[in-house]
Amino acid sequence: MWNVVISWVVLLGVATASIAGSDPFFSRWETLNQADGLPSDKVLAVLATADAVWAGTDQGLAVVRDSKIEVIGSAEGLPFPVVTALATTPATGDLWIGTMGGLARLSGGRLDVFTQLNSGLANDVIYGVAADDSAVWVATASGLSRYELATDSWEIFDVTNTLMHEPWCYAVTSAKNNVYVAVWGGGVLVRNGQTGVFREHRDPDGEMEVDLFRDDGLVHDVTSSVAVSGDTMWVGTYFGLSRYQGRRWASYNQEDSGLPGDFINYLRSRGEEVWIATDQGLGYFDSRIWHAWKILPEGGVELRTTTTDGEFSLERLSSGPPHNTIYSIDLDRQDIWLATAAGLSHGIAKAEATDKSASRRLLDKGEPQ
Amino acid sequence: MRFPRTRGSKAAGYIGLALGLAIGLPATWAGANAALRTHIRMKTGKVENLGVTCFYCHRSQDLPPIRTVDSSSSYLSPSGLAVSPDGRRLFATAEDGDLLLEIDLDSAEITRRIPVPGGPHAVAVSSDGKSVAVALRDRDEVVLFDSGSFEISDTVAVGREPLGLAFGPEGRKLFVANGGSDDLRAKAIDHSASDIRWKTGTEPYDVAISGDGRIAAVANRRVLLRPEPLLPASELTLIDLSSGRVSDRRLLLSAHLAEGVALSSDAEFALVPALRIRNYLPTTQVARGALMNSTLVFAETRAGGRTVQFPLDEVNAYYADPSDVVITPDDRLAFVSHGGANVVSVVDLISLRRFVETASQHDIDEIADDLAAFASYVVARIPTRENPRALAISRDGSQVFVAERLADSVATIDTASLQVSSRIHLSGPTEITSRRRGERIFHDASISFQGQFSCRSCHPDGHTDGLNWDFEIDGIGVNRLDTRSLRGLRGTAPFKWNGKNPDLATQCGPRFARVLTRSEPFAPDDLRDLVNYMESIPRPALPAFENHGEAIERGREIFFRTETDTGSAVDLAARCDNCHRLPTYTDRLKADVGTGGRFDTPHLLDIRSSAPYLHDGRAMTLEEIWTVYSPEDTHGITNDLTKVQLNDLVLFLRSL
Repeated sequence: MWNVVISWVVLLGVATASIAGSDPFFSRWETLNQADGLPSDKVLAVLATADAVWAGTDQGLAVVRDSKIEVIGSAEGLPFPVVTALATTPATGDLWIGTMGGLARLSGGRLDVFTQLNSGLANDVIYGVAADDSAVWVATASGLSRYELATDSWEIFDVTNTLMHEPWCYAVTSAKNNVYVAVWGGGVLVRNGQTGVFREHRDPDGEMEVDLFRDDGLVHDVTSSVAVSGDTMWVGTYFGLSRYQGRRWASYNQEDSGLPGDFINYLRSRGEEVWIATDQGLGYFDSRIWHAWKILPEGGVELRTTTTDGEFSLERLSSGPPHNTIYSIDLDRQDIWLATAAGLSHGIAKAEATDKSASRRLLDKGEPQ
Repeated sequence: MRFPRTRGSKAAGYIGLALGLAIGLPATWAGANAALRTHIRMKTGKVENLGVTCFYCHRSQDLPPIRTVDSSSSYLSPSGLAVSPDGRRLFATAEDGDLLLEIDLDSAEITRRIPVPGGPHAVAVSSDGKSVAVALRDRDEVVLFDSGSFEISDTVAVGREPLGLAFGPEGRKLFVANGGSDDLRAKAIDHSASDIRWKTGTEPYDVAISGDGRIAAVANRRVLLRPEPLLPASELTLIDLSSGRVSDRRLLLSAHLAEGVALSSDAEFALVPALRIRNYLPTTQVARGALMNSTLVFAETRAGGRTVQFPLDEVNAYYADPSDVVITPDDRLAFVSHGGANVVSVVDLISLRRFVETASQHDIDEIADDLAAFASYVVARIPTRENPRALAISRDGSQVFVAERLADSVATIDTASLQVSSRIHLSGPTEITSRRRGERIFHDASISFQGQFSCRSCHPDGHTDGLNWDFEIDGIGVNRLDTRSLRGLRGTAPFKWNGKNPDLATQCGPRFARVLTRSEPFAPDDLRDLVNYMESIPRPALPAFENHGEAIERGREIFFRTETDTGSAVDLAARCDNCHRLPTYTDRLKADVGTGGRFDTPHLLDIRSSAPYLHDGRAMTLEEIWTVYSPEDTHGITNDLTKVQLNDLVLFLRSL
């Protein structure tokens, strides 16, 4: 009996979506790709700044500014074409570019290159970069590097001098003077900015295949991303999402939440909300409701909305992200930018008249792409 | 049985003894010397034993201490000037005298002498005239004075070696160019905001802020570290202060040693005096006047604006070592000091602007090397006393003040007559010591053919220009050699990369005149004075690497280690401290570190600021010495080091 009821509810939801599909945040989605001037459709990192949107691809860095796309590649001095991470120093706007072959700083048009050969960088294979006004943190395949801006000094944190269980650092973020590192296979390390002491967060059950005990800690040690806002730390793993709020952990998986996929590439949090880049679409969660944007096999974009009670609805949208594999996210006011396997995706917010994002103002100078 | 002793046999004995001594002693000496050399070669891998005694190894780990030379000076050496907004007072920093001087311009007398220990270099006055700021080069600080009471109102920490200083237009912010940390820092005077730190070019030396506070322009003295075959270039850093972003990094191709910058009243353009260089040409080209010349860089500050280099020299007359620049308030004239020529050039800016507005790119490229072009825009050459460096201009533009650094005086130029109208003597010592004479010779370009360059042209402030120069007549750009710093060089003989010159007198002797200056060799007295000065060039204060003490200590242990990470013994010859021996971190011998020959072992003091490295400057950073240029452990044993350890070692070296 209940099966019949649920089936009717689902069918009703699908039918409603196909008729009235409405994106909760975005009026439309647009995509920039190789045809528009990107060096590649495979966009691995994205960053929206006051005067440009930066897209790191596997064939170089693209900057979208004044409706034009400029490419910065090896010929322009980039140490390696595969750009994996982007960050800016807040006070000066200097752009830090993490690649699979070293780190670069773009400032006033000048590219300075830092590699494991010419500097104290731990390793040239970079997965994540974070910057504040005093230092740049670099997550590499061989530990975490810290570049102190005032003294041009390097420091390496790895398995020899921290609790780091594995050398592969997949992501780093800095917040409230602390530094958070997603260590692939080693959970999350948090460095206290006051004491310099590292604290480790690991999966308590240590199981690689299943999460034995729900909400007991990290859902898995294979972490890929960490995001912090307020007192909440979100951790993305290849096996689900974790939330930590000082004392309590919560675990989320595709099968028991609105998470679009368990294989998480990237997280971006703001206030109570977290945006989730997975290999099965874009996710959103604000502790009350989930949204998941996903391209259907037969075509079209589906928005799945799920409450924490397990109720859900499905809607068909007229536009959405171009690909389910999403590598990175940036938020620019109410707009969203996605680095996807099929181009640079731009979710344009509904409330655009009074609160235009900086990046949208750039694009408004020309025709929509 | 006894043989009778005769007088003849006794004489024969003496003769025999003498013969034996005559033959035996030299033979013994030669044998001992050969044995000593063999011993040294076996133990250290060295062929030469220059400067080596038994005590070198068998008494102490350190070489005998170097006799120190007093680098202190009773001279004043004015290095910074600033005029009060009302035009009635001039402030001058006396870098060697550790003084801030207040000069009443009506009476041309010094009214205050305020002790400011720490190498006061630059000085600035706020637009309301209430605050005077002094940059302390040796203390990494800026001291703020109340201009009425001259009480210290604040002392603020800045970057390494502050050299340039400017107030924002409203006097609430102070901008400091830090030559030792390659940055510009903006400091809120009332500490209401955090510092902002912009990365500049290499060794920022001066900063100018536009009248509306919109633009900061920074002149950087040394070239950027750029891989070959890119031409050397220094940078004019332009910062949009409204957005807080570096708006442009204008490359000054083939130009460096920029010590001054000035913005036009509308901030539409910036002027930077610099030295245009052709370091890839053999130094034989001195005779053809093609090695270096003074230039005035005219840079439009707008995005995509033009950058033009206007030569300041003449075809057969050079005005070496351009240093500072000021612009009259009506933007009609610029004054450029030439420290090596004892001259201030006056440049007609209307002519320059007309050229920049109308010239083709071809014209712009051409004029940079056209030494006949000066006639179109240089309107006067005003002689000064020794080593004119810093300039300041009164707010009404009627007077330009010139710090005659090595004469302890300030000249006043009347901008209407374009002549020195008066001179203020700062009451420095009247007696000129040998060292002071040597300092003057060091900064005087008359030592070179047609006055093209001085010692300082390659060794600014006794340091290095960071360039590689081609000294051989074997083709263009072949066999170039890295310029070595002269800071703290006493006790580091021999000199030259091939270690052929046993002392500075030889280094700067007749051969130097033959191959480099292309002029008469120094007279013996001049040479003695020059050497006296060079041996007294101090090292800068040691840097503070806060929070890195443990890493530096770990690096020190690596430097002095005798075992590898795996427990194997490091051969004596391969130990860092075998060649880089205390106290100056050189054994004063030659070594082959796998770079194509045997070269003099450089000392390591102040090595952090003397990039690039190795004899031909092939290593851009300290790390590259081992990661790129010693893959087979030809430069010490480092392949066993982890990256963390190598970072520690580098940090230790940077702390020396």
